[in-house]
Amino acid sequence: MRLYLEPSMLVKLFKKEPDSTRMVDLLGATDERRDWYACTSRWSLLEVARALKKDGKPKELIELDLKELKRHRISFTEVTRKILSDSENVIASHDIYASDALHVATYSSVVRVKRLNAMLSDDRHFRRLGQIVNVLTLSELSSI
Amino acid sequence: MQAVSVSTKLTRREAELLDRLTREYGFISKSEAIRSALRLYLNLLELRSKDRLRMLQLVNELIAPSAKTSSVLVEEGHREEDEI
Repeated sequence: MRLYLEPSMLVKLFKKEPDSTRMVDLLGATDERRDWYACTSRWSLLEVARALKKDGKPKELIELDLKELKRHRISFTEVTRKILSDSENVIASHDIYASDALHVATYSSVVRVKRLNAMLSDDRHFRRLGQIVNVLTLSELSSI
Repeated sequence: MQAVSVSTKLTRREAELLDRLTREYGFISKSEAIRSALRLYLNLLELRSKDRLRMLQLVNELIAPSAKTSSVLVEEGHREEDEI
């Protein structure tokens, strides 16, 4: 399975939620198995940091969590001018947050090259973009 | 065994906490308490990736538990950005 990870899925790694263990298993599979691949935008690191800050985590723990994310086999796609320009087009044609538009544009820019199966997300906003983004939730993933 | 000394600066609050925990846990000195903490920390970082993540998940949950889900936290961040 080859997936684009939306930031809330990464935040799940540092919280106790019903499916957070499944997310840990997914990252374990990405680290250990060649048939698994995970990528996201480098922007996701900022969104994860902000979410953890809002969750009341201290600075040292946020830094450790981010370092942990970078230790895994997740590919972080750079935010390029082209991606920003594509994000503007997504915002112009859909009612969507700027950050979500950036993820849609990043996903679209790598979906073919990286042979992605889907974007892993719980975010209902991405569901509305069915024609642009193939969204999968953790519960929809077959066994890891 | 060849020993290497490393010094570090602590805030007043951290120094007070170190004093208290050294006494409470019966370490022979503050240096010994720091050595133990450092070894424990380094051991945690050396765990297999899945075990390390599980441990870090627990640490996060113990230090700052919250009822908000990851989706809600990320969405709140988006709303703030849109309001700026």
